[in-house]
Parts: sequence; C-alpha cells; structure tokens
Amino acid sequence: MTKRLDRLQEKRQAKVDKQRQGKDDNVAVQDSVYEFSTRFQHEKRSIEEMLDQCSSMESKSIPDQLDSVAIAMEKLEKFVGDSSQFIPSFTLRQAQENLNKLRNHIETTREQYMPKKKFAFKSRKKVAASKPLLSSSTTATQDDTRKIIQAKDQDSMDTGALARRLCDYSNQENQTLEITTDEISSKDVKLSQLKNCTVRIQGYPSALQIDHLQNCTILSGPVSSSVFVDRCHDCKIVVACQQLRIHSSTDIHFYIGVTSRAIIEDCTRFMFTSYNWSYPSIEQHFTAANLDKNSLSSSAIDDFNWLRIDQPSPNWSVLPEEDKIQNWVG
Amino acid sequence: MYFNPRGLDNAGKTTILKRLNGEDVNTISPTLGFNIKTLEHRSFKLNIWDIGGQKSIRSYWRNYFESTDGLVWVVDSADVRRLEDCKAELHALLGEERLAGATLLVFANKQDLAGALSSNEIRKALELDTIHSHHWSIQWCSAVTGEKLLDGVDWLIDDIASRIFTMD
Repeated sequence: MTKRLDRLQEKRQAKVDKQRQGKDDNVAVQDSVYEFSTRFQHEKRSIEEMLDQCSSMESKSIPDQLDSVAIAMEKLEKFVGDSSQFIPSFTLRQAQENLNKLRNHIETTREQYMPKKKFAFKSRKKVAASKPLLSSSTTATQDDTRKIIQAKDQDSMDTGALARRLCDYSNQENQTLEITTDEISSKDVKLSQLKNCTVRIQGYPSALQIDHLQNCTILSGPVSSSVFVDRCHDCKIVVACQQLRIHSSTDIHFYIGVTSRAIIEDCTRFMFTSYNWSYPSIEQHFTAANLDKNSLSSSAIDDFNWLRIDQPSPNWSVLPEEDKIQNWVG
Repeated sequence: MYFNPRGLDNAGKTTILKRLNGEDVNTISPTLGFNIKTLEHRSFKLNIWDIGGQKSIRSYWRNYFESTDGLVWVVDSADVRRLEDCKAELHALLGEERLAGATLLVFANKQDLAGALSSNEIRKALELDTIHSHHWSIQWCSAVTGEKLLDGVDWLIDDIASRIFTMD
C-alpha cells in the first residue's frame, strides 16, 4: 500500500513539475492551443462540407462519400485524443462537444440518405473506433463509450456468423469424416462428441478444438496456431501444429509435430511419437500454415501435474517404434 | 502502471504481450510459469505480469495481485465450450480484495478465427453488465494480427490515468 502511495506521489509530483514548466512556457502552450483550434476548425468544416455535398450527389455515390466522412471523423477524433495531453481541459471539453454535434450531424445525414443500410453500421463502427482515446474525463463519458463500443462490435461481427457453424463436427457415431481444404481453408475446426469415428482433415485449419471423443482416430494437416484437446479417451490423434494443449484425457496415442512445447494436464497413459501422416498436397499446406517442417518436435512435453525435473512424468511415454502405425491410408 | 493479464489457458495472453512488444509470436509455448515485461507506451511505463492460465496454476494467480492498476481479462472468443468456465473464473477474480479499484479490460481475442464470437456475444456470455465494482470495457482484438490491441491498451491507460488524476 505504501509502495502504491509512493508511486502515486511520484506521478503527481511529475505532473506538478510538468505543469509548472508549462506555466513558464506559457507562450508555447498558447501557440499549441491556437494550432490545435485552427486545425480542429479546419477539419470540422471540411467534414461539414462533405456532408452538405450529399444533397447534390447521385444516390449511388453517397455511401462512398459517407465512408470518407467516417474516415475523416475518425482522424479528427484521433487528433483530439492525441492532443488531449497538452491542451487545457476547457478547450478539450469544447472540442468534445463539437465532436458530439458533428457525430449527430453525420448520423442524421446518414439516416436521411441511407436508411437501414448495413453500411451505416459499418461506418458508425469506424467512427466509434477511436472514441476511447477521448474517454478519460468522466465516468459518464466512459459509460457512453462503452455502449458505443459494444454497439459497434455487435455489428462488425455479423459477417462471421454465417461461416461460423460450417466447421463444427459433432455428435456422430461410427462415421468416417473426410474434410478437405475447400471446407476449412484457414478456418478453425471443432470436433466434439464423437464416438468410434475416423476424421481425416486434409487441409490447414487455423485452429483445432477436439473435445469429448471416445475411440476415435483424428488425422489433421498442419494447424497454423493452437490445438486444444479435452476429455478424450482411447483415441489416436495425428497432428502438426504450433501449440498443443491436452486436458483431462486418457489412453491416447499422439503422432505429433509441434513447433513449441506441448503441455498435458490431468492426463494419464499417453504415448507420443512423431507426426507421420502424408497426403498429396501436405507440403503446400505446411507452407500455407506457416509451419516449419524442420522444427517439429514430438518429445518436448510439459506435464502440469508433474513439475519435478529429476524424474520423468509417469503420465506419458514414447510410443515404441514397432507399435507405430506407418500407413494411415484406408 | 501495473497490468495483470489473466484468462484461461489458450486465451492468448502471452501472444498479446509478445505482439505488443514486437516479438515473434510463432514460437510461443504454453506458459508454464510466468513472463514479466516492462513496456513503454505513450510515455507510460507498463509493468506486465503474464501468468499461465492452466487450471493447476490458477490458484497461484492471487499471489501476484499486489498493486494491480489494470486487470486484462483475455478470452479465446472461439472457445464457446469453456465460456461458462471463463465467466466463473472472471467473477471469482473480481471478488479479490486486492483487485478492488483496478480497471478491467476484457479482450475478446482471436477475432481472426472464423468461429469467434463477437465481443457483444462475449459480453453477454460473461455477464459483464452485472459488474459494478470495477470500471470495465470490452475490446475485440486479434493478437495474431495485432488488430485493436492498442485501442484496448489506450482505453486502459486513459481510465487508470483519469482515476489517478481524480484522486488529486
């Protein structure tokens, strides 16, 4: 606590010193305020002009115009945010009020020319994007900011919704699933609730989640980021990836190539060996996934339940070469 | 300022830290212990304590809360299955006495993944609106591409700075 107070004291002192220095240098401050106000007014006017131009434009070019407005607005907000360090709070407050008016003006214009268009959301998002820079004055504005950010985020993610479910394979029994590049190119793949299944992913997922599998064989091409395995039993999992985390699973044979260290937690009876799956376009997929084939490891494994370094973890061992499946075809 | 990034394992805490610091994010291993970094941004010195998120080490989190100004809760937005777990851990954390007064920034990370939920969906799932004990905000981001990371950090700095300023 005293440490914290000391720190605060130091900061306050620094600020006071800075302010004192500022007073000595009053002329410079006034100059910068003048510069700020001039540039602010100039940019504000140019945005207003752009809005006025809408009335004399063809309707099809209005969306572009409004996008330009949004970009200009974002710039202006950023400028105010960046300047907030050195301009007096009264000037800042005035600027913020002006920004609010301008924002309303933009909104009204937008609703007038482009009612209920998706573009409206997109651009409003842009406008809101740099808002947090200005939010340091009061709690009230922070609350407002928060609402704007949330509204923005809701809209900006709409496009993801459609693609979302496509790579989710769950609740299957006794199936063989062949998943190819077209379906999963750079997407994240989820496999869950599978029993007695074989899944062959000939592609390069951006991430892979494997959950709740019983007696399954999973083969995957190179994964560019992380693979997460949870609650799986009696499986064979063949995967190359950047990160591998395995939780609460038992009796699994892993054929892995990981470019960092793999970790296991609450797992027992694991066997590890090197990644040996191959299919025609796997080389291209390694390149696409940005995985270096030469830096793959299958034995760099940390067990969170076994932090001793003098003895190996009893929860995993190396799969003997003679037990290794060499041919995954068929 | 002291920042504490927390969140379940595989959320991307270390990747965010390394991305902010301009380091290679392609060779990061799951964090077994912790990483401590001091970064500078907008003339603020940020001390960041990044601790692993595995279940078995979450109980150690509370040992590293002293003088936290900003709590950064990192969420794997594509990990729908563990959102419940994620919510419980977050709300338990906010009950920590030593975090009282800390500003909370939630990063809805991994927006580069097609299966990621929007930050609005994350906000609902984590019941952020029920949080009244801390200043908070949610920011979508992608640690892999670096998108929106600075927006979140800037908000956090501004909020903390305004708090300290108000104390004067």
